[in-house]
Formats: sequence, C-alpha cells, structure tokens
Amino acid sequence: MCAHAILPCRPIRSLRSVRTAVTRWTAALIFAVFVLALTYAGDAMIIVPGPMHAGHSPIAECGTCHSNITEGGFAWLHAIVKPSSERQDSKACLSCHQLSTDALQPHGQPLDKLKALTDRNRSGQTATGTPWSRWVGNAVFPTARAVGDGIFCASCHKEHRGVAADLSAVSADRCQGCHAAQFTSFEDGHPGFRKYPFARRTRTNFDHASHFGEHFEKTRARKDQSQQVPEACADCHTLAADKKNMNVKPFETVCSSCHLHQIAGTERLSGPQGIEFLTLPGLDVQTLADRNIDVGKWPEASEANVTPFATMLLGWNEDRRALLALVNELDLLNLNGASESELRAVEWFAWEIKTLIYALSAVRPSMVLKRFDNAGNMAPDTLTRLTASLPRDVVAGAIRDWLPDVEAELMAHRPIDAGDLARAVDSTDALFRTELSGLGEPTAGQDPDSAATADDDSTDTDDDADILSEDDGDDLEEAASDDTASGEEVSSEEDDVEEEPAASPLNVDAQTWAEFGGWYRQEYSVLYKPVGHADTFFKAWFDLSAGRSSPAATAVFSVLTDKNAQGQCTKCHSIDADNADARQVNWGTATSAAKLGRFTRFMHEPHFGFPDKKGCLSCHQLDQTAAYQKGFEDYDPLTFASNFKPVGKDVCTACHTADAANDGCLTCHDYHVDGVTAPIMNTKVPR
Amino acid sequence: MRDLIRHSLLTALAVAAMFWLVGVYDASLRDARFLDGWILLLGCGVQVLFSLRRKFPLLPLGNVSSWMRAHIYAGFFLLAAFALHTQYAWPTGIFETALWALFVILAVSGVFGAYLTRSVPSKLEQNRGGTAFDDFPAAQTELLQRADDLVLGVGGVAASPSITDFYANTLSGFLNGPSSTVGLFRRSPSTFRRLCEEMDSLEKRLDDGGKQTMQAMREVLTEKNTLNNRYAYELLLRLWLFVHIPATYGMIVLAVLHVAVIYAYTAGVP
Repeated sequence: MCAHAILPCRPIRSLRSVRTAVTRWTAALIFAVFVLALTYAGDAMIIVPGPMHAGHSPIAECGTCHSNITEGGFAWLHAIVKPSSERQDSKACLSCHQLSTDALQPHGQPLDKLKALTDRNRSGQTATGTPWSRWVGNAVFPTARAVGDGIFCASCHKEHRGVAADLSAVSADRCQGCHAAQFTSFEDGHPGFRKYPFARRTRTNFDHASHFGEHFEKTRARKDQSQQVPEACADCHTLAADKKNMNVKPFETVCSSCHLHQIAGTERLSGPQGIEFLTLPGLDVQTLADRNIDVGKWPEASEANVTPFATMLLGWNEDRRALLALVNELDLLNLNGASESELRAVEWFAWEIKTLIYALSAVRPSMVLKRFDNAGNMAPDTLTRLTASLPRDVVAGAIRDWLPDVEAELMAHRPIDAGDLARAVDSTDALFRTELSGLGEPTAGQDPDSAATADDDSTDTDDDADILSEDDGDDLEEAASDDTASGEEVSSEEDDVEEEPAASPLNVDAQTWAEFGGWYRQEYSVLYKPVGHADTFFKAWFDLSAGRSSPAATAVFSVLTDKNAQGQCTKCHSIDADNADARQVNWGTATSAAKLGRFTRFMHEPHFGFPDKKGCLSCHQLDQTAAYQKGFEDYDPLTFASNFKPVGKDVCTACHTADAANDGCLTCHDYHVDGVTAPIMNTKVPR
Repeated sequence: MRDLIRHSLLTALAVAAMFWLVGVYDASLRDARFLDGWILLLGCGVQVLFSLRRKFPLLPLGNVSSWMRAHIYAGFFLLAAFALHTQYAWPTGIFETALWALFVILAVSGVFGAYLTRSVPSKLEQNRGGTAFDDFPAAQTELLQRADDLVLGVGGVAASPSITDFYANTLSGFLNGPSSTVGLFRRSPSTFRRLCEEMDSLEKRLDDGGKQTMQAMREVLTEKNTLNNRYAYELLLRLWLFVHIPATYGMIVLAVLHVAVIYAYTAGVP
C-alpha cells in the first residue's frame, strides 16, 4: 500500500462558471432590491423619474395626475393593462389650469374655427419649400393619427424634469407637424405677413396722417401756449404693464388741450351745448281744447320736441311703445287733421309726460328709470349714471315754470283708460304709482296742506302752488321762457331777478352758467352738458341704447351718435356692430384682453433698443394715401385702411434668425391663444 | 485601418439616421422618448445575442470575430441612443439613476473591453508561449521545480551557497508569486528587471560552474516573467467581463421594469 494519502477530487470552478454565477446573482439581487424597495418604501417614490416642477410640488399623490394609477406599492402594475388615460390625465391638469371648453383641441379652439383659419391661410400666401424631412414625416408618422383624439397636455408639457424645468419649451418642428404651411425656418419659407399688425380698424378714430401733416402744423403756427403738440411718439404712447402693447396715454394728457372744448361744446355754432334730456313738448292746445281733449294746463308757447330719452323712459312695454310710436308720427303742433283715437293718444301722452316730469321730482329717479327696465335688474350704479344725479331742484323749477298746477291736476286726473294699453301697467308700475300717490296723502301728525312737500321744502308747497297757479297764460309763458340754472331757490325774490336778467352782469344764462357741464334748464327743456371727457351720463346712455334694438333705443343712439351731437363722443370713439342688436361703443383703445385669441403677439419692450435712428418708424411707416376715415363710415371694424403700412416679414428677419434673435415659433406665436388662467381657490371665510 | 474608417462611418451614419428619425417622430407630436427608448432596449437585446453566439461557435452564423466587431460598433451606436434617450441630462429619480448608472458601467466596461480585445493580442504575441489559461498553475509549478533542481544540483553539482541564498531569499518569491491578482500587475515587469540586475551582479563573483547555474536560472526567470505577463493579459481579458456581463443582465432587468413603469404612467402619445 502506498503511504501517500489519496486526496479527493476537488474541481476548481472555471472563471466562466464563476462569472455566470455572479451574473445571475447580480440580476436577481437587482430585481430583489427593486421589489423590496417598492414594498417597504410605502409609496412609489422610488420609481418617480425625477422631481416635479416647483409649481407642482404640492402634488404628493401620483394618482392626482396619473388617472390610471391607484395608490399602493405595486398598484401601478395594474395600470399597464388599463386603457389609455391621456384625456383623463389632461382633465386633471385642467382642474387647475383653466382653458376654454375646447382645451384639448389644437390651440384650444373649436375645429370649425381652425378649419376656417386653415382655409383662409391656404387661400392666401403659403409657405415655400416644405423640408423633405417633413414629407417623410407626413408619410411615415402622420400627425393626424397621433392627435386624432385631441392634443393632450403631456404631448408638449413634460413633467419630472426638475424643479426649474421649462415645462412650456416646445421645439419649432413640433408646430409644423400639424400646420398646413410647412417650412424650414422663419427666414426660409415662413409665409409672408398679411396686413400685419392690423386686424381691424383702430378703436379710436385718430387719423395720424392728418394730425401729423395738418393739425399739428396749424396748432404750432398758432403758437397758443395752452395747446400742446406732441413732438415724439412717446408723448402720446406708453408701454403697457405687460410690456407687449403700446397704450395711448389718457385723453387728459394728450388730447384735452385741443379737444376738450369740443366735448364741452363751448365753440358750438348752433344748438344748445347740452343735450335735451326732458322737454315739455309743444302741443296744439287749441285743437285739443276744441275737440274736448283734456290735457290740463299746457303752455302754448312750447315748441319743444319729444326727446328720445323721454320716449324710452315712457315706453317700458310693447303697448306703450306702440302708442308712443303713434304719437311720434303726429305733428303735435298741428293736430287739426288728427283722428279721435289719435287725439286720445295725445291726451294719454300729455298726461304721461306730466306724470314723468312730476315723478322725477316727487319720487326717487331710480323708481322712474326702473319702470322701463322690465327685467328690473339694472345695477344701482347704472341708474345713477343714467340720471347723472339729476338735481331735484332742476325738475322742481321746471314744474314751477311749466306746470305749476301739475300736482293738483294729477291728483284730480284719473288715469286714462287707453283700452288694452292700460292693462299693461305691471307690478313695477304699480309700485311706482303707490309711491307717487303716497306723496299726495297726509301722514299722521302732519298738516294735510303741507303733506305733498314733506320731502323737500324747496319744492312746490301748497302756497307756492297757489302763487304759481295765479300765473297762467302769458305770465306762465314768460316765466317758462326765462333760463334758470339748476338748484335755484323758488322764491319771489328770484322771480324778480329772472324778470330782469340783464340787470346784473353776474346773472348769466343757464347754459353759460353751466360752463363746466351738468344739468340746466332752458325754455321748455331740461338739458345735460358733458362735464368733461368720459362723461358717465353719456357713456351710460350710449351703452344702454347700443345694446337695445327698440326704435326708442335706436332713436337715443342716433341722437348720441349724430355728428353734431353734444359731447362729440363718436368723433373719436368708433362703434362696432355685427348687427343692430350688438352695437358696441369702443371707449378705449385695444387692451391685452382684447387681443386674446390672437395667434401672433409682439412684445414692444425688447425692441426699444433698436439701433435704427428711425425708431418707431422703422416698423410703423406712415401711409399718407390711406383712406383712413373711410373705414369709420360704417359699423364694420373689418373694413378699414390703416394709417400705417403693414409690417413686412423682412423687417423681422433682419434680426430674427436662428443665429441671432431667435426664430422659434413661440417667439411670436402663442399656442394657448386664449391664455391660461388659474382659478382662485374657493376658500371659505373662517368662522 | 480602412475597415476601421468604413465601420466608423457606417456607425456614424446609423447614429445620424436614428437622430433624424427620432426628430421626425417627435415633430409628429408623438413622444420621441418611446421611439429612442425602444431602439435602445432592442439594441441591448441584440447585443446580448453576441454572448449567445459565443456559446454556440459551431452554428453557421458568421465567425465570432465579425460578431465581435458588430458588437463593438453597435455598442457605440447604443451610446448615442442612450444620450438621446436621457436627453443628455443627469438622471434625477432613484430608479432612473440606478438604470443610468448600470448603463454607464456597462458602456465604460464595454469600451474598456473593446480596447483590451484590440490591444492584448499583440501583447500576447510579444510573450509567446502555448500555455492555456487553465494550465498556468501547472506551468508555474514546473518552472519552480526546475529552479529547485538547479539549486539542489539534481543530476549534477549542487549550487554554491551564494546562489542558494540568492534563490531562497530573493528569487523564490518571484517564482512562487504573485500571491494576488493585483500583485501580478504591480510586480512585473519592474520586478523582473531588478532581479536580472541582481543576478548580473552576483554572477560576476561566481566561478564557471556557478555561472552556468545562474545562466540556467536566468532562463527559468525569463520564462516565469513571460508566463506572468501572459497570465496577466489573459486574466484581464476575462476579468472585465465580470463587470460587463453582470451589468448587462442587471441593466436589462431594470430596463424591462423601466418599460413597465413607463407604460403604466405614460400620459403622452407613444
């Protein structure tokens, strides 16, 4: 036997064998670590691809945005086999970022609008030179298939890229995936501009050409220190807070030195400076008396016309409007040929006028105005502006001079039964009459004789009425013809002054007295003179009548928009209308809000450093030949000719190239053209 | 060199085509990360086929060297795909970082491996010897035995005390070693040069018999040095795979999980 021990065979693992074992263990270990981490981490943070944007940091649950995901370690596995949830995910975005109802359509716009825009662009200038990569892309990866169900938020906005990531960064190539016009770059192939930047006529009718070439020159020649002529564009224009638009400076800064007198009407050659709001219309009193039509006492001297304001105030329902229309067709100063029914209509009208005038003094003006607002939803501030705080004494003075016995007459007069028309008195009207009749009744502990004047001692007292009642015939006419300023005290001394207006140099006529505007009375009219630019009374009646299509409203609108109208508002403020029901007075210039919905934006501020000495004129070149004023002859804002030549693409491509001032689509175009807003949180007030 | 240029150009062309295709895909309002992600994952899958091919060398699927070349160039292509997929940015999520790190390890080891497969064969050529990698321990034992026989005088005269001392104190350590893989790379060839110089110095003081013994010992030493070098290079050719292959499969595991996560949470248009 051999003394050497026989060692057992101990195979040594080859390196390949060891490597295989290491590989297996590594793969198994990695998988195990993943599973354990997901199990014991308690949430899915391990699989979060990266931090969310700072604005989204309050979102702690994956399911807030990923609608397919239910919370739990491995719950996400189920989502792999769930149907696609892009639409639901986008709705989660839209719960905070509010867009239009078509938010998931391209640009958040209705498809029919997009189609119309596409058709328009195809019919006009088109892009040149579609890149061959786009040809291939269109054939191999048609965009329509990708966005057939809508363009979802995550298509462009990629999250989990860090707290400071730019979520709105989108390459220019992506825009071209959808657009009919496909081109290489802004400089190479982008369609030319079409009348840019003018999409409509200016809201304010300001003819730059005539001002530059004529008005400014004349004003300079006059050397009137009170009139300032701008020397630079920036004298009238200033940068808006959004740094995009150039706003026009206020009227008081740039226009008033030359144009304020046109509003005040101080240089009017004919007609009153104030607008007739209320009149005591002239009636053929003789004929009415001959035909036994009782209108009470009515001054024969009045030749005033019915104002459209009065017609509007009285025509608060269809029946009354029909009757007023009938009266308006008559020659109220010559009723010889009027029929019996027409005379009865005149009788009704006369008493309504008396009631209206008396009511404006006796009850709150808001009650009077509310009667023609059938819906009864007119805001208090609107009522205030419509009356421009009409002083009671102006109306009281009118009653004293025109209709001194009106209170007694109204008490004695029973409302005329105008057939069907009488039934039209609605609840508002009943309330009005209750308030009106209550003034004539004595209250407890009060002298019945003075009951009617309990509100204001300065208005008609019974004594005043007695005194005034003695003034009939010529005396009344004489008193009525005297101009009286608003707020005059009703006294015998004043009457004496009015009889000799020229006795004192201080006693000016009412219109002159109202040099700064406001209410005044002249002959048989109560007039309102604008108190300056942006007069609230004029604006209120403009807006009220513009939005209504009734003949009365149209009549008011016509009076206000007449080229000789007091205030001359529409000399500068244009009117837009799609149809008669949708007239709109443009009180201001274009605002950022008005530019919502535009696909192109321009930010002025970065261009202020333009090295060209021409400054603003580098882009805005005056077109002396443009028929600017012709664009304001109708209410269509889209038929116009600008004072300035359109800006050509070549102006922009001088700088905006890929190598210079950036030529990406989003430099000038917005995707969300209607803007994106974040709703204010609905936080309840702590109790 | 012409092949290198041709293959590099082909790879660059493929990379450009991929970038263009991904760009076109992105421009069609689809999420391009899906496209370049799938290119990346499928590319990694194709790369794995190379190791399978090596397991079945007899299959008529082209020679291994062609596969190796394709594997290397495909690796560079996938590096570009990886850069595109990650948007040239550092990862931020935990899972993403792990995946990113594994790919980077895989890529770096792959590049290192590609360098080794190109440079080591020439080194092996300089260190000729037919010893297979698995026979290195036996070859080392044989050299050690030859050295022992020279010192002990087996079949002849025993070596002088000075040679015996030199062998016992200096030379045997080199012939027995290295004790570790790291030492293998650290000790040669500087150790070999130092030992040769010491032998030259000793030899001057020996008689003729001693000089003959030292000459024989020098041959043993030279063979040992060649054996060490071959072993080091052969080991290198195997060790980098300990990083590359586990990283490959680990990354594929994570990549599959990554795809599952992405499709669960996806909100864009693939």
